[in-house]
This record gives sequence, structure tokens and C-alpha cells, in this order.
Amino acid sequence: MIPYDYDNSRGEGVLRGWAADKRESRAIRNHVWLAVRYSRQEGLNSFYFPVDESEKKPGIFYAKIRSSRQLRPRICLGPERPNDEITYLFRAIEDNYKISPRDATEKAFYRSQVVEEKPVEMRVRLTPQRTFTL
Amino acid sequence: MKDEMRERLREEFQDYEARHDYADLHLDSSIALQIKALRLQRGWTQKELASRAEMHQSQVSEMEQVTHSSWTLETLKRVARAFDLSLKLSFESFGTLLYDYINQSGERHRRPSFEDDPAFSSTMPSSADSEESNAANNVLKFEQPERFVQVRSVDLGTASG
Repeated sequence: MIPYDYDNSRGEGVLRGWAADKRESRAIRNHVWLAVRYSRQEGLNSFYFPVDESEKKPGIFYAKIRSSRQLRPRICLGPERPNDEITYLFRAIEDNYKISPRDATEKAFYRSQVVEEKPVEMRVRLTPQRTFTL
Repeated sequence: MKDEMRERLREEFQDYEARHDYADLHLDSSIALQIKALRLQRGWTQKELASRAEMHQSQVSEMEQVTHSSWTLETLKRVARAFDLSLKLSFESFGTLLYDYINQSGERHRRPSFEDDPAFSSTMPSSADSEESNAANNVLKFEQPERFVQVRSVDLGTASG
């Protein structure tokens, strides 16, 4: 499973630049590596990759990364190759059972349409090299 | 990818906090992943495992999350009993962690049930004679190659200190 990070016109990403500290950086990196290794073998949610699909926007999932904060990045499959790619679309944090920002799923949905139109321009592939800078 | 990861992690492991962070992350995720792998290997639902382990299905669901970290030895023992497997805990070197971390896979988490365990197959010699015991151990090595290959293949790098 190849992970991609949404990339806005200013070079800002979702996972890239999100970590609040080194420990969180390692947790994010660990998450990406596990997703790559296991999802390739077993499929996105059949084995590992704790994700839940949004009820409001089917096709938008959220992953769980536990560190000093409870990160819930919104993701989608593909869009170019749904069986082989995941794209991190929008940042969200869970605090006391509430998601912040509240419209994270809607914004992720909008971005999923953007990356579907421009999968090369609006995404950055997360290579092992790049994960070390997360 | 593995080679690149290995080299970068070897650099990162030079930092005490970093290597212990990865150790914690790996411990939590590998337990969760193995529980799920074993359950799926046996064709059980979470509810079935919960019943065998005398716990709620929600507890099993939580245990199978790699973000779960509130493990107790008692819980792990109950899960081991439910799978009819032994539980092994040991302190390991970071060389071993590095190898395990990079080579983690669903396949490596699976274990034979007692009935399928070659060590207890009815065709195996039951004598305690050392030669026959060694033969049995060689069968074990063949049947579970990942464990022994793992030990032989660990690159411990340059020893220091």
C-alpha cells in the first residue's frame, strides 16, 4: 500500500509537519510503516490499519494514531488505484470524544475530489526517506 | 525499502529516547497484530475469542487496536489460554528489535494450534534420548523456520560498550 500526503500549493501536507514533538513524529512514522507493510498483504481494514469509515461521507476514512494527542487523520483510498494507495487528506484530533475541527470530514471529502482531478500535483508520495522527516 | 529503513533506523536508534519509543510502539502493535492474526488463523470472530477468554467482545476489539497500550500480564495469559498457546516474554536487544520491526508481517504472527504443533505429533519420537530430541528440534526448526532464521539473520551491527 503506497501512502500519499495531500500537498497544497504552499507545500504543506497532512502528516508532514503535523508532529508536535519527536515522540509524535515517531508514532506517525510507525503508523505509516505499519500501514504500508500490512495493508499491502491484508487489505486496508482486513488486518491492520485502524480506520473507520465516515457515515457522513462514505469513502472518507479516518485512521487512529495515538501519541501525546489522539490523531485522527482523514484518508481516502486511491484515488488512482484504490487497492494500492491511501491518501492522507486532512488533519483531525480527537479530544474527549470530540473531533476537531468539526468539519474535518467534509474538508477531506472536498480534497479527495481535488486529488482525484490532480493526483500528481496535489499529492506527495511518502517514501521511507520522506517518512523520516515526518 | 527495507535496507533504507534499516539504515535510517540504525541511525535513529543511537538516541536513547528514540529507540525506547520504537520499542514501545513495536510492543503494542505486535501484540495487537498477533492477537488478530491468531484469531483469524483459527477462523474465530471477536465474540468467539471473547467467550473463550472470558471477556467482553469490546475488550477483544480494543486489544486488536495497535493503539492499545494498557496490557496486563493477566490479560495476556487469559488470551494465551484461549488460543491454547504458551506465552513467552523476554527482554531483547535492540538488534533483535530492529530485525523484528523491519520484518513484521502477518505470516510471522501465526502459530499452530496444539493439535497441529509438530512437536506433539503422534509420529514424532517420544523418547528423551538426546539424539531423538535433537531430531525433534530439527523438525521444529523446519516447521517454524522464521524463529530460528530470525536469530541467525539478525545484524547486530558493531558492538559497542
